[in-house]
Amino acid sequence: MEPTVPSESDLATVADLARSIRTELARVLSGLDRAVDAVLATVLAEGHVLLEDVPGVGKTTLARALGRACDVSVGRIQFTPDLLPSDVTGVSVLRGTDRAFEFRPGPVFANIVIADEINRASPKTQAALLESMQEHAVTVDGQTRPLPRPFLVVATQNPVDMEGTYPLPEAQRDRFMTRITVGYPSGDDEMEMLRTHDRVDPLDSVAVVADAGALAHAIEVVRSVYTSEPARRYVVDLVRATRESPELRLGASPRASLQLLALAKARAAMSGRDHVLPDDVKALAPAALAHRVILTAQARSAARTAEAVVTDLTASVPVPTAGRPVPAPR
Amino acid sequence: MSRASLGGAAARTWATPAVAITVALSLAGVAALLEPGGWYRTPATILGATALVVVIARLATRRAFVPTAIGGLVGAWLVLLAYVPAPDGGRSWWPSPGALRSARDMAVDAVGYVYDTVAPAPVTVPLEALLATAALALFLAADALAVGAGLAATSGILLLAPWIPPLALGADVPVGALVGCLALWLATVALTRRSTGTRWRSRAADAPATGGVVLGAASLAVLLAVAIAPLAPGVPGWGDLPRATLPSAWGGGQRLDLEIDLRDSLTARSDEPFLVYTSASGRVPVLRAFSRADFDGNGWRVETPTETEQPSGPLWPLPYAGWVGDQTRSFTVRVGDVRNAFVPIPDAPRSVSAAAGWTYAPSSDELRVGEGDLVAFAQYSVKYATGFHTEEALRAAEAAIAAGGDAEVEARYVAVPDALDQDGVRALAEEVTAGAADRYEMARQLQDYLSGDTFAYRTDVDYDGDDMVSAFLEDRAGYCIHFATTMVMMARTLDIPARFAVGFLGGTDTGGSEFVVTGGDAHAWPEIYFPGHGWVRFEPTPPIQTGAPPEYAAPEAGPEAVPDVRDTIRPTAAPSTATTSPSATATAVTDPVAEDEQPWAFAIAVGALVLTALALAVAAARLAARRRVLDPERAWQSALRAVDGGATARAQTPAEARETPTLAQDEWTDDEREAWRRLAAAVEDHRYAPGGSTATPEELGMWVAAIRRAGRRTPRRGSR
Repeated sequence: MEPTVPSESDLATVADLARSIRTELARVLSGLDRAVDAVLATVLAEGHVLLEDVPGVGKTTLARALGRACDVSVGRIQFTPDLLPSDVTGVSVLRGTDRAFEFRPGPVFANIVIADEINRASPKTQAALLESMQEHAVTVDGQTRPLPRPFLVVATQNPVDMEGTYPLPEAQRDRFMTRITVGYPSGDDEMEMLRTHDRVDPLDSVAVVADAGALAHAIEVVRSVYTSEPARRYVVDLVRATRESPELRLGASPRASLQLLALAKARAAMSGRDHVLPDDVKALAPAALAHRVILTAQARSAARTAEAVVTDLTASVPVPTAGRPVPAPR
Repeated sequence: MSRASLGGAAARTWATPAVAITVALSLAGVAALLEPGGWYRTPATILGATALVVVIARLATRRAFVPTAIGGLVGAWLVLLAYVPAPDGGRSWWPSPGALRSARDMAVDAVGYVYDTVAPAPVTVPLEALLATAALALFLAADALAVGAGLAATSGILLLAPWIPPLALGADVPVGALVGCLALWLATVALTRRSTGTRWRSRAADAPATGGVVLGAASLAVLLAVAIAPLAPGVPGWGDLPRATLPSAWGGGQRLDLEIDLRDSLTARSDEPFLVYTSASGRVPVLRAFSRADFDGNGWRVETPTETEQPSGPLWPLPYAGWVGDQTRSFTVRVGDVRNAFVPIPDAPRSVSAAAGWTYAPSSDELRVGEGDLVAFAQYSVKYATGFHTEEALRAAEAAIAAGGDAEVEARYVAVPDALDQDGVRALAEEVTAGAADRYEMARQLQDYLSGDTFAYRTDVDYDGDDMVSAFLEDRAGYCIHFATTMVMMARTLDIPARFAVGFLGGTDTGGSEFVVTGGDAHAWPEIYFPGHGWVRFEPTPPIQTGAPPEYAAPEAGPEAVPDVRDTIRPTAAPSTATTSPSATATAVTDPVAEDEQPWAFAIAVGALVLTALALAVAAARLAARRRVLDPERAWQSALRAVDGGATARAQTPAEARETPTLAQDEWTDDEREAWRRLAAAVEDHRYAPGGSTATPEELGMWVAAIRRAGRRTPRRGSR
């Protein structure tokens, strides 16, 4: 059976789109290419992103710049401890004119939802958002309302200053396709930032480069990217390795396999390639897997991080070859 | 769709019949060593049936060597059915223990027969079965190599094997068959050729079996060569090979082949002692080995005596009254490491202390060792009559001749071949014998005519055509065999029964009443029949070579003199003292090494082994090279090994290996780096891209070669 692969023009469109968005984001945040690429891949795989880092590195700016570069509806929710689920999903109000209930959609009814400091809200509110993320629909007053497509949530959270927060449990974190740490910019990049951000809000300079239709089309193209048997096997090998690693108490789920492959497809399409390479998988494995695994106590006391463990696994799991296993080095 | 898959499968179906026909034609080459006859029909039928089975099996399965296995089983069964009798005398329908025993006995028989006979040998049933088995094995091995493993070119080395003995020995091979073989081999190569432009598919499924099959094929080839090689010593022209230079320390022993094509020159023969005899009463005139009756114009047909008896009492074809007083002499014989079956004895009534199993054939007056045995290291004593052949006795036979006494012998002793110019030879014989009063005088006159000044003794002759005798009478030069044969033929045109006898001259006296007879003493002479008396030797070869004729045949010459120069077998006729010393003989006689081996059979077996090893090495190298080069995956692994000894992490993707500087590429040329990049891209596509890699095997080979060059030149960096 001849595999269906995206046409070259489709791939070029996706690659162009990715390049334009990347360029726009770079206006705001220079030197964060890895994070930007991971975010873009997650967007094209129609997944949800969890940006996690210390305050002030540009999590929210990145999320907002993304929303601005795409000409789509953007909802923004600033999570606070007193935020209610209906503040997220929307609420039915009684209309004065005909005394009928009218549904007022919450900020979740948008193509891109920016959920700031998600760990500050109560678990109940968090659950409301996470359920809509999973189901792509909101149920209010017994009525299920679909969310617009594409639908993606960019959530941010702060790993320090944990007092008064409700950290996401592992099961909830699994809903996010990627967890991305933004990281500090390099010295040069920070210098550049000081220069460009001096007078104007950099977000104003972000141009719109994509609309909802283009984004949806790109997401369709990404879905049709070809995955060879060895590439799929590599995903499975890698995910299984997290379950067998002595440093991990909990390994990644089968959902992680699915999402890692989807991410790899997105990265392949972003490079204008019609097939997935293990390199795609390797590049995105820390972002896709690290937030789903739990370190053992020993690993934690040895100051290991989940990212480091996953990165080490990508360097040690053999890359499957066509036909037969690679002979062991002599 | 690829070009290969269109033509490939169908064309390769025809390759198996091509191989089968090649092998069948090779039988024609082997036939040069055998007597003509219809023997090839059954082997060819078995070959054809087996080829058909292999073809059908190849159509049914894609496995490379399963058809060979099936063909082998079917072929073995057919051989069993065709040749091996069941213990009850019927056909063997299945390989029962009794049938297997019969098969083993037949194999032993056939091998013994091959050792025992000289070419052209009549084909017996065991020999035919051996040939059929060998042809079958050769076909299966060549087919497995050519079609199964896809190494048609290499299979040519196997297909060449049956042609080696006849070609090496200068037998008259059918040129048409040889050319046909070569053409079919080329056709096989063309039919099994893979299109190199198509994408290589992994042959991993076939690979594990390949090594074993190649090994098996090679073993079969060795067996085949060993089976055929023993035929070789009997081939005309065998004497051309420098046997004398083979050191006796090899323990090979010698085999004296007295069957020489009369058109060929006589060349150097062995100076190795053939036998040593101790005779207190002096030299024995001749030691007779065997005789021949049927002449085809150029050579004497080999025959095996059919009627034999136990060698007891005086041995003579006709009734012999008994020993007459002191007219007997005795001597004892020690034979060297000799590979013949005949026992040399004097040409007068004699008695021999025969060993068990020895047989005497009165019709041809031959004493032979037991079936399948050799005369090597035999020791025996002989008593023989002197003064038995006398002029008076021979002249006295005239009465018996007149009474039709010649009817006692078979008509073939007066037969002349169609090829012979009968009228011319008869006219000459009549002219030579004009005025002869009786058979004795006729024989004398023929002998004197040939041994006189008219004819020259020369060992370098080159006669063409079918009629050696007329050519000899025309050119008037030759050696003992020409003289003897011509006298036999001239006598036969006069209706005198005559035959051709082969044996040895009396050898060299080494003092101490010990005489050494070497291969160089081999000699041939005519024997004329005298009814009531027997077969009598005459000596037409010039006396300068053979010494004087027998006393009875040349009364004026006195007792038989020692020849100054021997008729030899060596044109220089200088006996070598070094090799005829008793001590050398003693060494040879006591050397027990390798009794059952033919020196040249051994040499040919070694040659075949080397050839097969070569074929094996070439096949293995080509298979390995093909695996390494044609498949991007293998090319990549090979390149990795060449560059860093395989230390590159198995977890590295080709892209990482392409980009990362783990490899000491600083000193690489641009071409080499480019080859590296393109090979990495090719293997990446091969593994992961929907359409696979478009790199051709040639490109892959080029890239790997470039990377290997670079890897050899640049020192390896440590792993990661």
